[in-house]
Order: sequence, then structure tokens, then C-alpha cells
Amino acid sequence: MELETQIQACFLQLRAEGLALGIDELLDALKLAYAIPSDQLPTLLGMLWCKSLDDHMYFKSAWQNTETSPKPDTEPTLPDDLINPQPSNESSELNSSDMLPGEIDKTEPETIGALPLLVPSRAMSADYAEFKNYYPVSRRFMAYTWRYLKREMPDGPLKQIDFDRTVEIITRQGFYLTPAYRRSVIDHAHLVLLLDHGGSMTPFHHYLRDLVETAYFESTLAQVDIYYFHNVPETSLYFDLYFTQRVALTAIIEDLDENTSVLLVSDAGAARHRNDPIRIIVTEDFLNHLRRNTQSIAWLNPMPRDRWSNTSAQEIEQFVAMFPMNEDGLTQALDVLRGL
Amino acid sequence: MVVFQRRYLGTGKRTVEPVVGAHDTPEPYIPSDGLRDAVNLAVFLERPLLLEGETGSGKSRLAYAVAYELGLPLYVWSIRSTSKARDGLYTYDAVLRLHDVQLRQSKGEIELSRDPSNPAHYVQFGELGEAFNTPHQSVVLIDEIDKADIDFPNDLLTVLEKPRRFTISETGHIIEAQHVPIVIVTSNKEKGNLPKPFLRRCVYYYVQFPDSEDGLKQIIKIHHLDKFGETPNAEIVNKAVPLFLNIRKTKMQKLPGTSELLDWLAALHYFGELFPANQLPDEPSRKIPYIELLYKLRTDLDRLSTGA
Repeated sequence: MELETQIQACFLQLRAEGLALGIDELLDALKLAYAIPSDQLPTLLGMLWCKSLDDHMYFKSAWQNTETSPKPDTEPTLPDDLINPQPSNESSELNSSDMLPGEIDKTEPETIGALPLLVPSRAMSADYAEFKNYYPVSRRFMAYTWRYLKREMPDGPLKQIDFDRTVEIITRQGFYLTPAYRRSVIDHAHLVLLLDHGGSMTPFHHYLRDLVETAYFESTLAQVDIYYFHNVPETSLYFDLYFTQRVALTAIIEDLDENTSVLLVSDAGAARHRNDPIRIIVTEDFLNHLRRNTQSIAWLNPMPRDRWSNTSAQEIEQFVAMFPMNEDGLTQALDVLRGL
Repeated sequence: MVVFQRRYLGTGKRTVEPVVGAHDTPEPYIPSDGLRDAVNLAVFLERPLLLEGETGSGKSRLAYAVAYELGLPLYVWSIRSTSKARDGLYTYDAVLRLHDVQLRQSKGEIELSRDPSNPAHYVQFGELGEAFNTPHQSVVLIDEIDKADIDFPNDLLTVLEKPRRFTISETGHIIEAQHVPIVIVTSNKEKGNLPKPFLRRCVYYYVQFPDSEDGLKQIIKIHHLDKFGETPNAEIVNKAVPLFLNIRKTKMQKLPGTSELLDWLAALHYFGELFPANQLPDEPSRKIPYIELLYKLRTDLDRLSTGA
């Protein structure tokens, strides 16, 4: 019975960590618990539940946490330690109530001293955990989403046998000469990625890298062009992320046609809470230039939506479809690019 | 306690009576205890076993070893970038059928082993399809699943777990697995992670490279015996294995695996004269004989020459 509750507790903890586990995995684990000596159970559960070396680390700590099950007792001890000094304060206060001048001096430093002890430790650990798990769009999801940009047209080489038509021709003619061929389908999708690099985008560089790599190497898109800019897209952009090879905007625009989708990635001032009127005007101008050649333009903002208000992002959102960079946002941006 | 009809012990020796059509070539293979348990766990839970790990750490060979030891048939499905999930179940040869009809019409009634009016004659089962059809349990190796299209693993889900059946749409037949096959899947993670729904259903095991001298020597011994019928020269092995481990410790883009080690040792033994053990260098250097068997990238070789 105890083992069963431990398995359940561990299962819930791992699910909370984000491991992909379903009810089948829990049932199989319980099945194992009856079938296998309990000393072998942890390793076998690891094989069943963990799908990477990272998962194994989570599992190990979760299993140990749940093993010593009366854990909740240990947690309240922390506040207890902090509360304990307070009664002593009061007592000292009572004792020293005779000495009026010393009273104020004594209590004040002690209350101030207690505060920083408690607050930063909690805040820091919480921040760290959140930052570590902040990965709203996985590579796989990106690779998957690019496929929706496909623009396939049957205008490739004439090389696929069309069985239905071949049979139809035979029945019509009464004899067989050659098979009927069909043009193969070719993808004409053209994706242009315009990426804000450096400065306030620095924390999001790994997203940009993932976007570029998945679009370039793991998608079936016919043509992918990537250009970089810093803060605001202007009359020229750059081929490389070190801003050494300049490309004129006009050259980029010449390449855009009805099969082109343009995806911009920038925080638009939201990361540092900036509201810059010039930035807004320049961006609007830039977007208008693009619009002469293609209508499918979308913007991904790595900052969450609630951080856009009162920044340039809020203004820019008025004239371009802007989405936060999470799984939903990426899907919606892709819908815009596909013209849905 | 579970009673296994066929339990994988990892000894390399067959202890049970083989079924008809069993894989009969002995496989020299030394699984770690964890890997052995993982196989039995996958069999017990009727889940696919997913193996990841460095190239050349013996992921694929496990399936051969399991099939031999348990006396079961083995179906190897090597995945390519163009593989579709349906290929592993069945293929339907429409062109052949059309051809047969034409042949009948032009040459009159000739003897054919196939009847064009029966579409079932043009169905060719794939590896998983065969495994479903055999009257015994079997081992299916889905090799290098990461080579395939991104959707491929998800397309396999319905056949790898209950109800374990598929329909041949051309004939309308439903093929249902008579026995749950032991499915071993290998992946090199070339195209990132496999999809989560697929991962969830697998038993996962990461095959570690046997980074110990004794482990490697044991592997060399059984492979050498199997291939050349004699034990390897102890002097060479005692000198070559530490050198090989030292090579693996250097910063390399492409680490040599066990298969490279075995090839290299075979060359040291039989390619020309037996290589004198005392001429083997102690540290990685350009002087290593048959260096091209261990170093597969130019950058790795260049780094060796500059000594960096």
C-alpha cells in the first residue's frame, strides 16, 4: 500500500515537472510494483517513465522526495526558526523596558535584519526555477509548424504514373500504349525571417537560433531567407548576425512575391519597456514597403502580451499581426501567414 | 512474481526451443544489466523498447541477440528518409497487377502464379505486417527511426499499441497481431527529439558506451572468437584498448565506437602481418596504424597533428 502511494506521489510530481506521462504509465507502474521485487522497482520505473537523461535526474529526485514521505514536517521548520527570535525580541523588549533610550535602537535593527534573510532567498529560488523552465516553444513544435506554410503546385517534372487515368485510357482505347503521367507536386513556399538580434533580444537568442535552424534545416520549405536587424528594421538589413554583410531593403523586397511569407521576430521595445515614437514610425514605414509585394506578414514578440502595454509594441501591434512567442502565438502567426 | 515464458538473460546462449523461422545466427553481444532488465520490462509491459545512445554502442545488434537467444523470428525494418509508416505494414503493387492484366490480354491464357482478379495477390507484407501474421511471437527491429519524416513515429502508434491491427485498404482485409511482437526501436536523435506521444508509450533506455577496459576486452574477445575462431592476441589487446580509451578521451567531433574498435583490431591482426604490439604508441598520435579506421573527420585528424 505504501509503495502504491509513493508511486502515485512520484507520478504526480513528474507530471508537474512536465514529463509526458499518462494514466497508462501509472497503471503499468502499479502493475510492476506487484510483479517485481521492490529494490528493482526504481530502476525499472525510470526506464518506463523517463525518456531522456534529464528525465532521469528529475525522476531520481522525485523518487527520493517521495520516499521520505513525512516531508511536510521539515518545511514548516524554516518559518519556525524565523519566528523564534521574535518572542525573544519581545522578552528582551519587556526586560529592557526600563531603559527608554535603548528601546528604539534595539528593536529596529533586528526587524530590519530579519527581513532580508527571508525575502531574497525565496524570491531567488522561485525566479531561477521559472527561468530554467521558460521554454514555451520547443524545436520540434517549430519544425512541425513550418510545414503548414507549404504552397504545393503540380508543376514539377512529368514523372508520376497516374493509374486512374491510365486505366481510363485503356478502357476507352481498348488497348494499352503507354502509361499516363502526372506532374509531380512542388513546394513553392518562400519564408523570409527578419530577426532582431542583440540588445534587448539577447535573452531570446536561443529561440532565434532554433527558429533559424528548424526553418533552414528541418523544414520542407522551398526557400528560406534570413536577415538580421538591430532594434528597428530600416532601409538595410544584414545577412549575418554580426551585422557585417549589409543588404538593401529594396533588394529584399524585389524577391518577395505572392508565395512569400514574412515573419518578424522582435520585442518591439517591450523587453525594456520603451515607447519610442521614431521607432514606431520607422517600423510602420518598413512594413508598408513590405506590403507592396506581399500581404502575409506576421510578427512574433518574445515578451508575453501583458508586457506590451504602454510600449512601442502596443502601437506597432495596431498595424501588424503581432503574437507572443509561445506555441499558440506561433500557430496563430502561421495562420496569418497562410492567409487564414 | 512474473513468470516469463521466454526471459532474456543476455548470456548469448539459447536456452529455449526455437520456434519455426527463428533467427538462427548467434550474436556475440554483452548487454549491461540495465539493458537486460529493460528488454524484459518491455516484453512484460508489451511496450516498444526505445534505445538511444552513441553511434556504434550496439543499439541495433541487441535485437539480433534477443531474437537468437529467445529463439524467435527477427524482422529488421531499416528506416530511410523516404520511409512511410505503411511500408512496414504492407505495400500494394498496382503496376504488377496492371502488367498481369495486359499480359493475359496479349498472350491469352498463360499460367500466372497471381490472379489479377484477386487484389490480395498483389499485397506484399512489410516487416511489421509479417510480424503480425506469424503464428509465433517475433522480434521487430525498427532501426534508426529518427531518419524518417517527422510524422513517422506518430503514424506507428496505432499499430504498436492496442488494438495492434491495420486494414489493407485495397482488399479490405483486417490484419490483427496474433502475438504481441517484441519491438526494439533505435534512434540517434539526428533530427531532434521524437514526438511526445510516441515517447510516452516506449520503455526508454540510453545505451552507454562501455568505457571500461575490462568491458571492452570482453566484447573484443567474443567478437574475435565469433569472427575468426580464435582468441585475440593478448599483447595487442592489452596495448590497444587503453590507447583506444585515450583516443576517446581527446576532444573529438566524431568519437569512434565499438564497431570501429573491432575493425581496427581485425586490421591489426590480419591485414598484412600481425602488428607488433610494442610499436603501438601510448598516446593518440599520427603514428597509430590504420588511423583511418578510427578517425573519420578531417578536423579530428588535424587536431591530432598539431597536438592541440
